[in-house]
Amino acid sequence: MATTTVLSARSRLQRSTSAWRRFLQDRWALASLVFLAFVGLIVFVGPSLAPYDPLQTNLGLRLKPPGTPGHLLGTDELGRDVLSRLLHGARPSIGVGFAAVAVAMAIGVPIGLLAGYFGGLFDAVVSRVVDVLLAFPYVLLAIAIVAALGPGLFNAMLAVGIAGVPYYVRIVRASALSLRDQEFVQASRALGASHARVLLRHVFPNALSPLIVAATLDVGWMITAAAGLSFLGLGAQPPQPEWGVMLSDGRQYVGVAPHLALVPGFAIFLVVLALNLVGDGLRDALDPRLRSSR
Amino acid sequence: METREQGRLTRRTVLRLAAVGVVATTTGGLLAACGGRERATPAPSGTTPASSPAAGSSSGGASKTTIVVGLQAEPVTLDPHQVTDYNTGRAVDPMFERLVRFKDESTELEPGLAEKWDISDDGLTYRFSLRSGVTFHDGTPFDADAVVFSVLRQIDPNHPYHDTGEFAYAEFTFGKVQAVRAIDPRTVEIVLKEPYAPFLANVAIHAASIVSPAAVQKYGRDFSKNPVGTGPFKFVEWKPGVEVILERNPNWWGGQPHVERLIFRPIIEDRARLTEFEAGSIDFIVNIPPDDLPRLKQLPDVTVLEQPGMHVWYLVFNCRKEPFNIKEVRQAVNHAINKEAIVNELLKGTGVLAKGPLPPVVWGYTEDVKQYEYDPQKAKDLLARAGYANGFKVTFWVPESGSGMQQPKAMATAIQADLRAVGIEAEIQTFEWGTYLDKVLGNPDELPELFEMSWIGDNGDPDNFLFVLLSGDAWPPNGFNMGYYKNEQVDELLRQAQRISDRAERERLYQQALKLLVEDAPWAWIDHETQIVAMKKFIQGFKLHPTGVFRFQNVTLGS
Repeated sequence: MATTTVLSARSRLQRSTSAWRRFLQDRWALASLVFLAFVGLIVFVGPSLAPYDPLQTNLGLRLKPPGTPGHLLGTDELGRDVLSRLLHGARPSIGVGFAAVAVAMAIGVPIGLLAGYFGGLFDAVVSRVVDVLLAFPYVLLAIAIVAALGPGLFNAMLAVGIAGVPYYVRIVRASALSLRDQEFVQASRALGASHARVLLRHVFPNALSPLIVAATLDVGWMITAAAGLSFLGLGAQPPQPEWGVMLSDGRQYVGVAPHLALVPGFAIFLVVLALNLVGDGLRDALDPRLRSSR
Repeated sequence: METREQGRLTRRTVLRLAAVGVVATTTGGLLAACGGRERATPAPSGTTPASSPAAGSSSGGASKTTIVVGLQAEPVTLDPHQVTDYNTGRAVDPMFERLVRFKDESTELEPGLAEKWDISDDGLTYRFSLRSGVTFHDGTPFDADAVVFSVLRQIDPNHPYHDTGEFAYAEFTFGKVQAVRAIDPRTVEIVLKEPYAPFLANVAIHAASIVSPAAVQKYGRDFSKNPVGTGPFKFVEWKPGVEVILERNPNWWGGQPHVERLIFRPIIEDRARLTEFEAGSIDFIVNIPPDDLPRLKQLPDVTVLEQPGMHVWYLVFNCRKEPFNIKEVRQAVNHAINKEAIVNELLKGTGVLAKGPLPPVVWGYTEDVKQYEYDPQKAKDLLARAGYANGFKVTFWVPESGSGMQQPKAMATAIQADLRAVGIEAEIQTFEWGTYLDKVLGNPDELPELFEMSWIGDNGDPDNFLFVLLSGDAWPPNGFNMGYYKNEQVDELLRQAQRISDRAERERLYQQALKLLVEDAPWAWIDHETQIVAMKKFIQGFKLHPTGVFRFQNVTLGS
């Protein structure tokens, strides 16, 4: 508990290599990472691999099952190629998760750092507001934001990101709060370092490992939440291929063409699962003392 | 510590099990796919009949006397004067009657609570002779005072019971009424401000239902939860969100119905409703997903009824905004959309290709109008002639669902693809139905260039389509001309047709107006939806009605 962790640059490097070694020992996390690398590849080159234009409708060739010649994963309710839509849909669907986490972190981390480090009235106000926001169901908050901004994938991303801000404020504030009174922080203050320098050089880097773990796990959450908004018709607008929309539109045809819902649903499931396993692996590796679940 | 450790293990185990499951199903699925036909889906339909008798309601093994109807949504009210939507009307209709009524399967009129009526030569005075010996479900007698009460309650702001509801259809139904009076207990006279030919047809719609004055006095605003009429079925109970229960009226003047109980159950999701129907917990459903229809028709214990609908599905052009203020552009869109493919493939023939704003089942219809065949090249030429050779970009509003909207999103996406082929980029924005209606009827300056709409006729009169939807006098909030289209010549013809009562002459005027309208193309009309219901075989003798209400009074029950 009271172990002081004064870290020189070298010991930090050592810690990170040993963390990497620990991570490599987790076969599940490693396999997931390999899978995610593959998905990442699809995000970048997927669209050029797609056999068809994902928007090309062909009403004469609707609801064909997977395995139809020329359409490996079948066609949807408008005769569009499901594989092409899946490949094109990877970028918006997954990109939204990462972008939303970036938004949440960009807003949440500075606020959390300041609140935790300085404490006082600012901290009290931030903490109460965060409490209120956390008490709000995540998706409900996102829906309210989309209602104000209007539907669309970009707005859905913003909404999910903003709804995720309190979570990051919480995590970073907690870290900053415990770091603020550590001896190395006190020492650098005593040596005349400015608040800004202390925050950026000492507090922030040491708050990073819980943040990385949280963010990895959260990307999965964000992808699901954005897909959820799309599912509710508040996210991506037709004809943009996005997995949540594909799932939602496919639901109606579940009796005659189950692949329409199954294919994108499976894709979301796999990516989120892999992100979770990687997140768990990272947590074990970076913070062996804190192996609790979120 | 112990519990936390366990929690951690559980979550992790679940995640990993999931991963194992993924690997297993993927390989399994691949194998199955390689093994050939994965289309072994008839299994569910084979198993459902077995479960249906067990799931059947309380009546058990004996022949059924109850019909459970699956509605699209919760009824909004049970007060017929406050009905504004199709779905609510279906639950309300069996309890109430009007002075005149539509004949079975048509919008021709026949006597209802009035045995006969006379219209004065100037078309201003309607004198109704009422049926005698009719009582309301609460035992009070039906007489001329009840008729006067039912009308004045809606249109007279000083009427003591005017504040017992919001009467959205009052203006449409009785807006032209000058006075209504009881001459004697069996005679009522309604005087109009000006001749208005569709008036008699209006007397047959929901808002003209005769309600029990005693019940309105007793319940006040809560009459909408305690409806009392003279109809073949009477109200038993409304469990909000669950069901509305009606039972037969043994004293109905038309004879006691065979069906003992009617239960209306709201099930919003089309698929969920279909599943409940196939599982046997409901006996009668609407809005069947077109792709499931062929399968449903093959089930041995199911009857599927179809009838051309008094309906039109259309794309509204915002005529106040560029570029759709130009006729050639509107015509181009009509040529650019492959309507046949939408009707035949996407809707699986559950609608009839529209050639104009008026459905063929409404009199006044004519095919002697400009034809818009699918021709992208012609569309491009028209666009070029209008100065849009390089196309343009517009916003396109689409509801998520909605009564009469069929498959709003899929249809919009198909249209969007067709428009893209001629250089028009339509950016779709989707909205929930309630929000959507508020927006399209709201501030005209915020309307997009393009949006979807549909209309279901109320009374079978062409006025109820052409005037209400396309006359310059019917811009919101006075009507539903949501694209703010205006053509003086059309307006004059429509006004004239309201004022004369000779049917043949009116028909001629409407056909003339149709010709002008189709040429002018204020909308891109797509189809007229066929009314389709599916019911269990034990329901016999049921007939669909063009207005979409369900008539169970003459239904007989088999086993």
